[in-house]
Amino acid sequence: MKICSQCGSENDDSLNFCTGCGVALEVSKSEPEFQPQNQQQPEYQQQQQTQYQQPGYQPLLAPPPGSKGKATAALVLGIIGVVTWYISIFNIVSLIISIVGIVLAVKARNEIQVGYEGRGLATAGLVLSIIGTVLSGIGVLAITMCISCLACGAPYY
Amino acid sequence: MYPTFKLLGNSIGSYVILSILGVLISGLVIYLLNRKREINKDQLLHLSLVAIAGLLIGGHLLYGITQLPYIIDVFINKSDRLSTIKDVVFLFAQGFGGMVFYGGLFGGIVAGYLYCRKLHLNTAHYTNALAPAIPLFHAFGRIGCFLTGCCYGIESKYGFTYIHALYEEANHIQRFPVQLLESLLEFVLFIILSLLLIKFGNRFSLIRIYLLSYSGIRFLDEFLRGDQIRGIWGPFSTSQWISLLIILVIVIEYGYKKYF
Repeated sequence: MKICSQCGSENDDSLNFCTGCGVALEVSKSEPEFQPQNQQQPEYQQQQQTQYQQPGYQPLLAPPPGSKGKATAALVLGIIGVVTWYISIFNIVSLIISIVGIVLAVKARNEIQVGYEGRGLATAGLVLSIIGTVLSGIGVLAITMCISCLACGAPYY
Repeated sequence: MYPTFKLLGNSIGSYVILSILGVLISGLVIYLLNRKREINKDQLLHLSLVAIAGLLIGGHLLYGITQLPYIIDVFINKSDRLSTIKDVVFLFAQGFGGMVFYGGLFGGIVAGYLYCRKLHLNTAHYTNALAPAIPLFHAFGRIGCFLTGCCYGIESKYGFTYIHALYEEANHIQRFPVQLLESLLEFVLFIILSLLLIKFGNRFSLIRIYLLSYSGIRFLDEFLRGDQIRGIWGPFSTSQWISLLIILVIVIEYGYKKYF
């Protein structure tokens, strides 16, 4: 995480400009990796977040307001997509629901960083929404619209 | 060839199955190519999703535009046949059901570019990370085209004969498998781009190398195509004009940057 020298907000290492105030991050300093178990390993340093950490005995930090709601919504929409993809006609709705789930999950994952509360929820929402989209897409093509009917020359206007 | 596979009692187009296979393998390859590089893997994933969404929208939209005369004709002259909702849905399925690759390519690039800009990501860095996946995914798509029979080659004594092609006029004539040729060339292009990425990192703009190469490939192999349903403008087909346009734009941009 980089800390903005202007407004102090945390920004991911891959970003070039502060998402809080817009100033360039090049002159800012980097912060050591967020560590819930800071009592046991004082020299534990990491420049880039590459893996999830065990919550350990410390409570997780709170994410920005509204993000957990997005993550939960993404999970719910993903579940709906995975459960209803094969229902003829309804799976068009199911497809739209799953795509909205992907959008919400991506937004939630951008806001909630690793080690913050709700991150796993957002990731699960993303995975299920992706699976729901693919399945609903197949369902719409094969079951609702019956593409093979098109292939065998059904009503060409 | 094999336009559909049977799954759970329903027929699924081979195109869909090969596209999914292509996405999975491309995803794996992108992960393997980038796992040692300085790049945010989460954003790479999000960017891929956004680019795929853009690809689907752009591809179907461009196909719909080429089919617009047909759709308008049905609405104006034959609207008596549109009696139920199902008929209208069916008409749109026919009108927007296919994909034009160039529409998908530009849809994906534009969507990805907008996402990078919105999150202040380094566009060139991320585009290079994803560029090798484009020809790889397209190679799978072309195999799907070949199996479905939706784009086929010209009559030739070296090749295959369709029996269940998507378009009746393709059947019972021995045709050159031009999509397999394009698939092979795209695979070679993928290997080249991957090697450039690993050895040289961000020194080259891999997306421009891809666009230049693919436009050349597409311009030449379009002469071997037997399907002219996507429209002909003058001596060349739509895709050939687009290929020439892309080559022109890239060359002009390169000249502009070098000499100004």
